[in-house]
Amino acid sequence: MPQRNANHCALTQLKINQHSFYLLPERALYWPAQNALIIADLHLGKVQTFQLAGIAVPCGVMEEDLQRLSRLIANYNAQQVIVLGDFTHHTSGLSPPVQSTLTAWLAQHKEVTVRVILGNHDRPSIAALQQFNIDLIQHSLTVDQMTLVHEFNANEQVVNKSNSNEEQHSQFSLCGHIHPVVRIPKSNLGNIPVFAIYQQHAVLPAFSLFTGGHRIEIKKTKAVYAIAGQHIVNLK
Amino acid sequence: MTAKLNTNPIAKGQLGTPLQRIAQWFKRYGWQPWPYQKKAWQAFKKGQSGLIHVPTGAGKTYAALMGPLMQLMAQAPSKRQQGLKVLVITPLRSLSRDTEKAIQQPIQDMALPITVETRTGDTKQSVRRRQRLALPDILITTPESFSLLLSYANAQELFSQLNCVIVDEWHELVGSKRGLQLELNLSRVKQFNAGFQIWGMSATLADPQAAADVIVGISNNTGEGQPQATVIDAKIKRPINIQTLLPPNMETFPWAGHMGLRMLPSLVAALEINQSTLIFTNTRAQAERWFQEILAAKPEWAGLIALHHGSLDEKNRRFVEDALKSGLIKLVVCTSSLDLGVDFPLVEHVVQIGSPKGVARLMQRAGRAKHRVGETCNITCVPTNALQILEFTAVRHAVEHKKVEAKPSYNNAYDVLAQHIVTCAAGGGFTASDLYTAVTSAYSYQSLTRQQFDWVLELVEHGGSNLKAYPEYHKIEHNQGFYTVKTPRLERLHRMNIGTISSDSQMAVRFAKGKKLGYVEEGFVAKLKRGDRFVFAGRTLELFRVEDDAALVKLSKAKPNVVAKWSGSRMPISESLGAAMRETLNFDSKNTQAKAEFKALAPVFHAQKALSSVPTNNQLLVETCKTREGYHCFLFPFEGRIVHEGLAPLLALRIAKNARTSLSLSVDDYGIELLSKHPFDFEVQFSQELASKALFSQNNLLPDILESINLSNLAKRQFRDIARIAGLTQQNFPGKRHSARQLQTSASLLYDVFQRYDPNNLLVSQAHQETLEQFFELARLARCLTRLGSQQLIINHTERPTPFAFPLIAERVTSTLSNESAAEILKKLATQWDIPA
Repeated sequence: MPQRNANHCALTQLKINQHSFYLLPERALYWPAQNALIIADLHLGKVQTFQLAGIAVPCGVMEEDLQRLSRLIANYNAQQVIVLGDFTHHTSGLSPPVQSTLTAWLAQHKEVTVRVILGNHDRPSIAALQQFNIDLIQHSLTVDQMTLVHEFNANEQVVNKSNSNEEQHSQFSLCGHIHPVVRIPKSNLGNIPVFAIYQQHAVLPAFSLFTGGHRIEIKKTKAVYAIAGQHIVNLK
Repeated sequence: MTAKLNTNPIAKGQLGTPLQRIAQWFKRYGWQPWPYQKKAWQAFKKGQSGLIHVPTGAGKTYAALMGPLMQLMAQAPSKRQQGLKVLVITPLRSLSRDTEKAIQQPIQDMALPITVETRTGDTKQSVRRRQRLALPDILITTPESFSLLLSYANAQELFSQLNCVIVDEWHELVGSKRGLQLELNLSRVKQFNAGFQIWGMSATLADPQAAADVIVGISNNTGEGQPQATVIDAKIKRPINIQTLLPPNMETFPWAGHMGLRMLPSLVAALEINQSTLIFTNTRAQAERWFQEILAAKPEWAGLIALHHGSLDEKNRRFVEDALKSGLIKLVVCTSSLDLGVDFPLVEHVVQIGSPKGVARLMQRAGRAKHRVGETCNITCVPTNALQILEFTAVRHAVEHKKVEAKPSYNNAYDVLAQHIVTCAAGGGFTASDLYTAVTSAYSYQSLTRQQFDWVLELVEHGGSNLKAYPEYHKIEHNQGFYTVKTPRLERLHRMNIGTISSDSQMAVRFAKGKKLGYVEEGFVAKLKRGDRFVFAGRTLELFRVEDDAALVKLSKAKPNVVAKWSGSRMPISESLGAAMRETLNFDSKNTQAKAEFKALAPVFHAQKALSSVPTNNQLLVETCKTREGYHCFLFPFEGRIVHEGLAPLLALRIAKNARTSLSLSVDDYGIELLSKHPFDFEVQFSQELASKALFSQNNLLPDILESINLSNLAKRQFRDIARIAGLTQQNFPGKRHSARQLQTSASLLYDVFQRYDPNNLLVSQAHQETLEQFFELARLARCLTRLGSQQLIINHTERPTPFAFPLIAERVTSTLSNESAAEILKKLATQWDIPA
C-alpha cells in the first residue's frame, strides 16, 4: 500500500477490470501492481519554446513539474515512471539548459525506469531524445492487458479486440493527449483538470502546469474525477 | 486615390490669398464659414494646438483642415519638399473613405497641387509599399496604421516634413488604449520633428479642456511655461428630442427582460417605411432577433430593411451603409456598429430599443438622425421592461442638464508602452534616455518614472528585471545603448500584432459555395452539432460541417434551435444615468415632458408604494422578504451592474463578519439581492446604527474587497488584453495559422504562470490595478459607499417581491461572487451535479 503523510486524505481508488489504480491530485496515476507512476503530457521545454519565439514567459514550470514528479517517486517508492506521450513540447525548446536539467533529474533517479511513449509533440525530437537515459516507445505499450498509448483511437481498439481470443476482459487503454478539463457552470473557477473515464479508455490530465485544456463533455464519460487543490472530487 | 496634379505653377496674388480662395470656395457651395471654423483657422495660423468641440455634422473636418491647407497653398509647390505635411487620424477604417472625399473636394475644385491618400488595413499592398518610401502631402490613416509607419527604419524621414496632425472623433479614442497608442505615437514624432501642431476634433464631452490637454501632450520646454491647449467650442445647439414609445397596456407589460419583442406591434405601427430609420439595439443577438421579427410582421418590407452589426462580413456591411446612404434601404437594425462613422444624411429617425446605458451614448445615437447642423435629432426609445421607461425619463433629464459621463483615464499603462518600445526599436531605434523624455511628453505617461520606464524596457529586452526567468527571450537588444529589434523575423511578428484592439477568436460563417456571411465566436461553433440551426446575418442557417477556420452552413427553412452567442458582458448603466434615475424617481408627476411616462408607470409605482415605498434622492431603500427560495434582502443603490457586482460581495462579507451565514448574491443595474436559505435577520444588520455604519464604511475597503472577491479570476480577463498588447500572446503569426500550434496558449494560463513564477511582473500588477479600477470601478464604488452611508435608510418588510425587486429575482444571474474554495464548490456540486444537456 502506498505510504502517505497522515494529513493527506484517503486516496481515491479507480478500478478498471481486474486492475486497481490510485488517482493522485498531483495529476498522476499510481499503479500499485506495477509499482509505476503514470503521467501524461509533460511538455518539457515549453517555456523555452515561447521565449525563443519572442514571447516572454517566465521559467520555473519545468523545474516545478520535475520536482513534483520527484516527490511522487519518493512518496510511493515507485520503480518506474511511464509517460503517456508529449514528454517534450517542441524541438526548439530542447535548449542546452533544458537538456542539462533533464540529464541531472534522470541522474538523480537512476534507480527508476523512465519509459516514454512518443507523442505527436515528441516525434520531431526523437534524435535529441535518444541521448537520454530513457526508454523510448514508438506507439504503445501493453502491460498486463492494459494498453498505454498517447492518443486513444477507437478503431484500433476494435481491431485489437477482435484479434484477442479472450472475451472476459476487453482491452482498456490509458492515454493522454487531450488535456481533459471541465468547467463548472456559473462558477469562476476556470478550467479544472480531470481524469476522464470512458467505456474503453481513461484519459489522464496533462501533468505540466503550463498546459491548456480541452473541455470534455461529461455526458459522454463513464466517470469524471476532478482535481481540486489537494483533493480528488468524483463529479460523475 | 490621388488628386490630379496641376502642373502649372500658380502665380501668387493672381487668385487671391489662400483665405480669399477658401472663402470663394465656400461660396461656390452656397456655404458660409461658421464663426467657430474661422476661429479654428486663426488659432492654427497662430501656431496653436488644441481641440475643436462641436456636435456631429457641423463641418468639423473643414474647421481643422483649412488652416493647414491654407499653409500649404501659401507655399509655392516648387519650393515645397516632398513628404507628409498633414496627417489625419480617424478611428474607423470605414470613415477614412468619407474623410478622403471631403478633403479631396476643395483640392480638386481649386485644382491645388496637393496629394491626398488613405492608408489603412484595406489599402492595397502595392500602394502601401510605395507609401512606405514616400508619403503624400495629406495622409488619412488609423492609429494602428500610424504605429505601423513608425515601425519602419525610415520613420524619422517619413515624418520630418509634418506640419499638422488632425485627429477625428477624438472622443472615441480618448480614455481608451487606442488613445494611449496615439499619444505615444505623437510623442515619438515630436522626437523627430518638434514643430508640428495637433488638432483634435470631438463631439460632446464632459470635459473638453481635459481632452484637449491629452491630445496635445506635455511640452518639454518647461522653462517657457506650459501653453495650454486651445479649446474651440462651436456653441452650436442640436436639440435632442427623446420620445418614449409607451406600451399600450401597462398592466400586462413585463417587469423584467431585455429583448423587448412585446413592443414589436407598437414599433412596427410607428415606423414609416419611406422615412430613413436606424434602429439601435444593445446586443448583436437582439439585432438579429428584431430584424427577423420586423420582417415577419411586414414581409412587404423585404429588400427595404437590412441588418448591420460588427460580426457581419465587411462587404455586407459596406453594402448596407452605401444603400442606406443612397436611399435604397430605408430601415437598418443595428448595434453600436453604426454608433459613429459614416454620415447618413437621409436618416431622419432613430429608434433605441432597450436601455440607453449612458447619456453620451444616447446623444451619439440620437445625433445620427439628420446629421446636419442646427436640426433637431429625433429619437424614439422602446422599453423592454417597465422600469426602463424611467431610464428614458432620466436620460432626457441628464441630456437637458448636460450631465455627460466623464471619460475614464489610464495612467502609465505598461502594456501599451511595451508595444510602443518595440515599435520604436524597429522604427530606427532609440537610446533609452531620449525615448524616456519623449514618452513622458505624452499626457497619460507624464508621471511615469524612469524606474518604471526602465522596467518596461527590460521587459521587452529580456523578459523583465528577473534575468534568470527568461534566458532564451530577447525581443530587442542594444549596442552601446542604442536599441533595435533583434531579428527581421521578430520585426515582422511585431508588425503583425500591432494594435490594442483585442478580438476573440472568431470563426467565419460561410456557405459551401464560399460566400462569407461574417463571424461568430469559436466557442459557440464548438458547441454546435451538425444539423443545428441558428439565426445569423438575418437568415436561419443550418450547420453541416466545421472546417479548420470556418463553419460551413446552408439555408434552412426550419425554426432555429440554438441562439448564436457573442461574448461581451452586458453593458452597465453609467454613473451619470444612475444619478439621473435617482433624481427622476421623485419627479413631480406633473413634470410636463415626463407626464406620459409617469402616467404609464403609475400602476408600477402604485404597486411599489402599496408594498413598500419609492425612495427619494437621499434615501436608500432596503426591502426584506421571505419566499419559498429563502430570506431575501434587496438594496437599491441605482449604481449600475458593475458597481453592484463589487458592492454585493462586499456587503455579504461584512454581514457575514457580523453573523456567520452563507449568502447567495444577485445584481442588476438598479439593485442588489442577498439571499439566505436559512432564516436570517437582515433588518438587524441595517437598523442598528453602528452595524449599518460599518457596512458602508470606507475603512478597510480595499482589504475587504480583496477578501470578498476572487481577484485572480477577474484579473485573468483583464490580463488577456494586457498580455496581447504587450506581445506576450500573439494573434497573428507570419505564415499559416496552424504552423504556430506550439505557441498557442491562453492568457489565463499565462496569468497563472506569471503569478507563480514572476509575481512581481509589472504586467500582473497592471492587470490587478485595471481590474479594480476599470472593471470594478473602485473609485466609483467608494463614492457610492459614501453616498449610501450618508443616506437615510428605509427598511421595509414586504409581503412579496416588489416591482423593484422582481427583476433581481427574475434574473438571478449567478452565485459566482461566492468566496468558497474550489474544493468546497466542487464537493457541493458533486452531490447535486446537474449534467448539462
